[in-house]
Formats: sequence, C-alpha cells, structure tokens
Amino acid sequence: MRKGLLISALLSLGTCIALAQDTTLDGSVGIEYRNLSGDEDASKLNEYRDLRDGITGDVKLKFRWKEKIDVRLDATNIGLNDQKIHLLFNKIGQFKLEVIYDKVPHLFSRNVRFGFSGVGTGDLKWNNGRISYIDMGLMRDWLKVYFDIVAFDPLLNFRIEFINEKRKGTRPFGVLSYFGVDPVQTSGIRHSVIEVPEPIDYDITDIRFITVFNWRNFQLYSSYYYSEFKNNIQELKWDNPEQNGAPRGLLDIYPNTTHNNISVTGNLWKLPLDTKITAVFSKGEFVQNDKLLPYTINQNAYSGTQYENNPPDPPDPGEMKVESTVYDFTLVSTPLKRFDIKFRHRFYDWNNKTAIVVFPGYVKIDVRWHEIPAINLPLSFNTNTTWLDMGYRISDSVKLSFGYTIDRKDRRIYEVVDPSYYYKPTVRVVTRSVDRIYTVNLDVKPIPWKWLDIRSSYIRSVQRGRYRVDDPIVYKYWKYDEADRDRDRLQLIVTMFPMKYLGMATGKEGSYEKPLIITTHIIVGKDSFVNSPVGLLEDSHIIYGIDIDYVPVKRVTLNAYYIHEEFRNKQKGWEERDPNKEWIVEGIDKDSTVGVGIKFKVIPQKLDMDLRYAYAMTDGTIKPSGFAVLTTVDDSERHTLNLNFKYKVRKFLHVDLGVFWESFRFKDYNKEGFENYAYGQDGNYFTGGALIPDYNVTMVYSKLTYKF
Amino acid sequence: MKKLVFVSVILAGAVIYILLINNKSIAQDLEVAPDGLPIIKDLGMVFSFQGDAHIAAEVCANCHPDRYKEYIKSPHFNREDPRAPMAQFDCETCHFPGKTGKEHVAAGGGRGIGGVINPAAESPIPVEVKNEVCLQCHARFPLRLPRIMWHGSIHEQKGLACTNCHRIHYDGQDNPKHLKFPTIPEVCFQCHKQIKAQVEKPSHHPIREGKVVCTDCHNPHGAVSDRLLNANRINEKCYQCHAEKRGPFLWEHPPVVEKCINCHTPHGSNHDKLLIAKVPYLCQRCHATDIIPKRCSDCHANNIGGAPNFDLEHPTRQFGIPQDKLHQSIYAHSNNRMFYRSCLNCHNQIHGSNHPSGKFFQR
Repeated sequence: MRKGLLISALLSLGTCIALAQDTTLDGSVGIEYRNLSGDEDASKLNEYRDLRDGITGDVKLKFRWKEKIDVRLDATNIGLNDQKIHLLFNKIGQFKLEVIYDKVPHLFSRNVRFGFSGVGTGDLKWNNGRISYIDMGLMRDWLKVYFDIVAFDPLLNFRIEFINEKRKGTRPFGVLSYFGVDPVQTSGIRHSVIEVPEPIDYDITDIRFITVFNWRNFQLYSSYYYSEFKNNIQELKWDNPEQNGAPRGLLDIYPNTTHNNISVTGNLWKLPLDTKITAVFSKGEFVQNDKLLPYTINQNAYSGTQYENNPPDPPDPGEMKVESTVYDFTLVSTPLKRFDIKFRHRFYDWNNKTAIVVFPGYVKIDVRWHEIPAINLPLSFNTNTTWLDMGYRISDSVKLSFGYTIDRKDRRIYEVVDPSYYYKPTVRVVTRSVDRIYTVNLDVKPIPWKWLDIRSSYIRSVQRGRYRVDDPIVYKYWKYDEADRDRDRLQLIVTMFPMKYLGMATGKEGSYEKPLIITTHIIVGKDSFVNSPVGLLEDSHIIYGIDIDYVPVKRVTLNAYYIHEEFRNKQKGWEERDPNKEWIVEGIDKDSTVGVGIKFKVIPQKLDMDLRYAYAMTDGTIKPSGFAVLTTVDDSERHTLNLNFKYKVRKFLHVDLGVFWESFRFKDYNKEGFENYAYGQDGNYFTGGALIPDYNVTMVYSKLTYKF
Repeated sequence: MKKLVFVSVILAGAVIYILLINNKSIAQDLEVAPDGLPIIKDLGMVFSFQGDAHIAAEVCANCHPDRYKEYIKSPHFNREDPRAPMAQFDCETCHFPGKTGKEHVAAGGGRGIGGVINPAAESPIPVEVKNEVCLQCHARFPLRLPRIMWHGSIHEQKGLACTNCHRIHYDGQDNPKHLKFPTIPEVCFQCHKQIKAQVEKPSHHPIREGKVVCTDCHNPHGAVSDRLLNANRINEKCYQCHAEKRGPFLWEHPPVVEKCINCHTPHGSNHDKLLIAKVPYLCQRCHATDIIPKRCSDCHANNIGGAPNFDLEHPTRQFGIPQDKLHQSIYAHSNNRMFYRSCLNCHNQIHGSNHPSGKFFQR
C-alpha cells in the first residue's frame, strides 16, 4: 500500500509533466559514486546513515504550470538505507499534498554473537552451541502524507496528516536467563547470564486533523490526533541452554496502545493596549488493553522448596487508561509605551485510571514463585504553573525584564492497604513539590546600526517538597527530581558585528551585509540539594564557546567555533542507612567541540571549494573518595573532515569531487579493564561480545549532476 | 496562598490599568522610529491600500535588481496565489503596508523615504512592526507549526523578528521555508550554540545526519509547553517517535512517567542512550540504598582484594555469580550491549513492564 501510494504519486508527477501545456520544468539529476577504505564495517560509522561502496543518486524536480500548479520532487540517497523521497503537489491557493518516504536506520552493532535461531522473532531456540553472527539494528520506515486545504482561506484552513512507521529489526535487551533450578547450588537456583536480542516489529500509525478558523482578530486552532501503536510480537520466549527439561523464559514486551488527543486553542489580538489573549484546552487519552501473560512458562518453576507446575493465572486488571488534561491561559499586553506584561497559567493533569490490582505473588526471574502480595500503583500527578513577566524598555536599545514563576506539582499517593505487604504501596513520598523561579533578563541591542546583541538572563529557582515521612522505607523513593534544591543559572549570549560598527563593511551601504560576526556565550548553573537523605549534594555545569563568521573578501567565507561543556555532580552516602556514609563520589563529564569551515570560490562561476572539519571529544571521570579514580569514562574522540570541489563544466553539468574522512576512538573503563568471554568458557555466561569499535574511514566520492 | 493572592492582586491591577486608565498601544505611539524613520501608524490597515495606483515590482527592480532577482523565484512572487504579496500590491504589500510607494520612487529612494519599511532583522524599526508585516498573512500559516501561541512565547519576548530566521527574498529552490540557512538546525544554531556542540556527541539523535530537525520537537513560533515543545508535555513529545514506551503499563517507574529528561538529555550525551549520567551512577542517584553495591567496600568490607561479602539481598550478591566474574556481570559487561547496560541488564523493562512478574522491571 505504501509503495503503491508512492508510485502513484510519482506517476502523477510524470503525467502532469507529459500532458501539461505552458509548463516549466527544472531540476537536477545527480549520480554519486562512493569508495570507502578503512574500517568501513564499523557499526558506529553507520549508526544513523548508510555510507558504503557503490552508487547512489539524487533527483530534484520542480514543475510548474501557469503559476497554478507547483510540483516538486526531492529524492536523496536513492537506493540506500537512509534514502528520503519528498514529493509535493501544490494547487496554488487550493490545496497542497506532501508525500514523504523516509528511511532512518539505527545500527547498534555488527557481527553480534548469538547461540539462538529465530533472532528477530519472538521465539528464540537454542542452537545447541552453534554460534551465528548477526548485525543488530533496526530500520524505521516512515511514510508521511500531509494534505493542506487552503481553498477557504482566510476564513478556514484545514490540514490532514497521516503518518505510518514500520520499525523492524533487533536491539540489545540485556540478560534474561537467570531461571532454572539446580539443587547443587546452596540457594537452590542455578544461574546463567544469556544475552537476548529484543525483536522489533512495530507498526505505528498517526492521524491528525487540524482546522484553523480566522475571523477578524480572532483565531481558533483545533486539532484531533489519533495514534495507534501495534507490536506484532507481543511476547518473547527463549530457551535457557543451562537448564534441564527445556525450560523456557517468557517476557512481555511492549503492549499495543492507542492515544487520542483533542486540542483547541483560541487567540484574540489587537485588543486595547496591544493586548493578546490565548487560551488552550486539550484532552487526551492513553489506552492499553493487552491481556496479561502467565507469570511464567517455565515448567520447572517452583515455590519454596517444592517443585510445582505453573502458578495460577494472574488477575485481570482490565483496561489500563490514562487521561491527560491541559488548560492554558496567556495574556500579553503593553499597557505603557515601554512596559509590557505577560501573565500565564497552565494546568496539566495526568490521571491514571488503571485499576489497582492485588497480585498474590510473582515469579522471580522465571524460577521462583514468591508468595508476596504485590499491587500495581498507577501513577498520577498534576502541575499548576503560573508565570508573571514584566518587561521595561530602559531605552530604545535596552530592555530589562523580571519574571516570577510558581511551578507546583501534586502527586497522587496511596495509603497502605495492608501493612503486611512487604513492598509498601506508598511510593510517592513527595506528595507536593513547589518550585519558585525568579528570572531577570537584560537584552541590549544598540541601534540605529546594530553592532551588538546581548541576551542575558539569571534564574534563581527554589524547589521544596512536602514529604511523607511516616514510614522509613519510603526514603528509598525520595527521587532525584523530587529533591529539595536551590538552583542558580546565568546565561549570556553576545553577538557582535564589529566591522559594521567600525564602518569597515565591504558590503554596500544599506545592504546589511555583515562581513564579521562574533558570537560568544557562557552558561553557568548549579543545583544545590538541601538535606538530601540519599546524599545528593550538587549538580553544576559550565558551558562556554565562541563562534566566528568572517567574509574577508566576497570569494571567501570562513567559520570557526569552539564550545566547551563541563558537568559535575556530587553524591555522598545515604545518611541513615549507609554505615560508611562518609564517602563522596563526584562524576565529571567534559566535552569540547571545535569546527572550521572554509568556502572558497577558486574560480568564480566555475570552481568552488568547501572544506569542513569538526573535532569532538568527550572526557569523563568518576572520583569516589578513598578509591581509585576512574579516568576513562565514556571518553571519545571524533574527527570529521569533508573536502569538496564543485566544478561547473557547463551551465547544465556539474562535477563534484570530494574526500570524506572520519576517525572515532572510544575508551571506557569497562571496555579497557575486562576481557570478553563466551559460552563454554565458564558455562554460565553467553554474551554478544562485540565492542563499540574504533574506526578510521576515508571515503572518496564523485558526483555528476545534470541540471535542466 | 499568600503568594497566590499577591499575584492575583498584581494581575488584577494590571488588567484594571489596561482597561480603564491607559488605552494607548505602543503601536499607535510608534509613528516615528527611534532613528527618525517614519513607519506605519495603524497596523490594522495593511490591506486598505490608500492610493489609486501602486508601484509595480518591476519599478522597484530598477534600483533593487538583486532583491528582485531573488524575489521572482519565491512563492511570494506568485500572482496566481491570492495570498501572495504579488497578488496584492507587489512589493508595497510588505514594504509600504497600507500606503503607496510613489513618494519613495519620486524622491529617488532612500532608507525610510516615503514611509518604506524594511522588516530585515538588522533594520532599526521596532521588531513588533517587522513581525506584524509578516503576521498579516502568516498568523494563520503554516498549519504544522502554528503561530497561534507566538504572543508571549520566549522568542517573542526576546525580541526576535521573523527575519532573524527567515529570508524573505529567497534565492534558491531547496529552501521552501525561506530559511536563512540551508537547514533548520543551522538556523537555530545561530543562537543555541550549546546545542550545536551537543549534537556532535557520541550519543545523539540523528540531527547531524539530517534525519531529525529541531522543528520535529520544537515549535519556534510558540507552544503550549516549556522549551517550545510542540506537545502538551515532554513525554508526550517523546512518545510520538518512541510510541512503544508510552504505555500505560501495569508497573510504572515514577521518573519515567513524570519526565523523560529525568534520565535522558535530548540533544546529545557523552553516555549511551542519551543518558544524563553513566549507569549505574545514574540509577544510584535515586537508588542509593543498601541493596545495590555502589562501591568496592560494599562487597569487600573495606578490604579491597579481600573476600567479598555476599550476604546482602540484591540478586547480584546471591545468585552464585563467580566472584571473579562479578565485576564483569555487574559493572563491567564487556561488550557493547552489556557493559553499558549495568543495572539495565536485568531491569531491562525500566520504562514500564506489563508482565505480572514485572514489578521490578525485569520482565
């Protein structure tokens, strides 16, 4: 159906071109040849793209009939796993139809070692020790259709969106095979670690209807959204080669769900005092109806010391449903010439209506039946956020504004149903958290000729929570995002056009050309946690950089930038539970990015050169007090160089020649410090075994483009 | 409550002031821009052409040939489209809204002469005036990134003009949105420099590969959510591409339900899966309890290299994993799936589980 739609659209385009009179057709057809050398099989190289030896092409067509019909086709990377085709049919002033076909690969690893057959399905059978190697990754296959009707403009406009995604493949899932029984072991359980690939076979469909009504200074925007997620593999079963009696594992992977949402936004403007009012109402629903799987299908599951058959069927929770609601009201006004004010209130409610169900027990790691009652706890919360911002123009070029925001979050809590439950249901220890945010902004834009642009802001935020402290166990759930904390954040962005200011512009007067642009920025922030029982101390970050664009002469454009980021977090031992609470661990993540670009018209109108280079590095450290510092934590370096020459042989014929080079190095204490091992060596473990590979790849490419 | 009363009083005062005391708008006051250039007085009259004839675009081309050459390739130039400026009053639609350009032509041109306005980003006229020129038509377009929430949005408050991002006299075929740069991220990176660096990190959304663009998640024209997200909440945005994680699930993980960004950072991360910190340290920010070995001494009783103590409750201590393999199985899984997963090796359904035995997100 998807291919049929695409082919039909392309045939329509061809028919239009063939039959129409008074038409113009222009565009280009390019054929590109790529040759790669080096570590071209490295998975990280092609994580989201498809660079390989061979031929690809692109097509751009623009067809117009009497300025009434506009048809465009834009196809890139044809035939590759990252190809994209975009077709637009525009009956000008009447309607517009867009069809987009987009393939997005996501490659995790190549040559992953598995001992199963049926990889990619929901049924993994052990191969009796025979190893097979697969490329682990998935493909997102999108079809998007947008249809705009503008025939009734300006009173009414309509838009219909249809999006379908097919996602297939496998992705890393973790280790799943602890189950089984081995009386030899003192615990009564024999353990194995088997890595299992998760099968991906999704079908996702989204439909959206949009209507916009305009009448004088009133606009009403409404939309209805429906989304359906269908997982064609509802459960994953796998053999555990370590167990006797062919026990099998069972896992419920993502269930089928639907999402509905209706949204209405009204806007009234040109009111007295340049006042605008916007109001939003939105209501949504998330639904899931999948039947629960059995606790286990492992026939060797046992309860306590007694072997039993499968446990009883789990209770049925019925339909699981969440309702979301949004109210939003915004008023913006300029009551005085230099004074503006904004008031906004927003309410968001996430109301989980799923039934609370008591489960008599559960099967731990597919082996042991635990008669410990457990209940599910549908999470619900709502937020009320109120903003008040006031801005004052100190002068024509300076604006100062102040903001005050109260962000309150209320979480639904559950009372303990039965104190004998080991896992108490009171998981929401912070029932209410209130964040008070104070903001100061200073924006400077000198005129009449803008040579400087300063945007600065300072934010002070204080979050405090109301806690349930009636039961010590709930301290476990004092979540990171719920913690009391004070936040300070300063942001400054300065853009300068110094040559414009100094009157040295090479552009003609009034052309606004800016031969030199310098942008610097700095962001400094810190979260200080207050009396965190789980030992959170502080998070901080500093980000700074400079970006320069320079046009020394009209034939040359230069760009260079450097950006550095540094994030730190500190945590100490848990105050009440950790006997060695003195420890402190500090995590540090740094990264730097450097880029250079040169565009040079070597022979004007004939030969252009484009050089781009980027270097990105990450550097992590974990510093636990009293122990060795881990200095290689997700450290990486990547160099990317792309040198391209474009030669115009004729007006209609262009030739591109280029070299692309990319080098990637990765270090981590996990990767460096421990060796790999596989099934058979220990008897209990079987892992995929492929590392994130370093790579060094050079690609030479040439492209012939015919323009018409 | 006191704060609420305080805010309410301020708001009520502002409303009373607006309605009863001061009924002049800034637009009415801006007859003369700060540098002395005359500008339009009544922005509501843009379609009421006051002259009996208008200046054809070809006349403007005499003095502005470069602009004209670019302009004729633009959809704005289409006289067959009743919405296009050229179908109305040619160049005057935007540069002399509500007026004629005759005076400008008669005077031989010049900045500000005859009331000409230039909505370009660098032009000295007030940004509200520039934007109003565009919004006279574009308040209702496009439908995908609606501008209905523009007023009061952060970009409006920061004084951005449409022409900060869009180039009206568009000069190419590959830029249907009239953007100043060939791609959307390049436009946004003009100001959002830190994001420019983040997309270069090893773990990233495919932004630099061109498969995801900023407007897939953000509406720069204004949105109901923080950070200009074009969804009701950040999770609802993420669910549009990661629909499998939206649930609802039988067993839910609170930080997941509340905010995806409790654990993930969307633009780029040093750590796999766009995580804000490396696992297991990320997990231990909340689960810093005695059930997880968070450091060597938890197992080795403050005696590194000594005998480990496996009497604690967590499965990693009791499931018979050989001691010499423990590091590999817990912290140091030495392949590209396991070593990064850490806690998630077993708690692999961390976004929510629908299995009756999945209370701890292992099923």
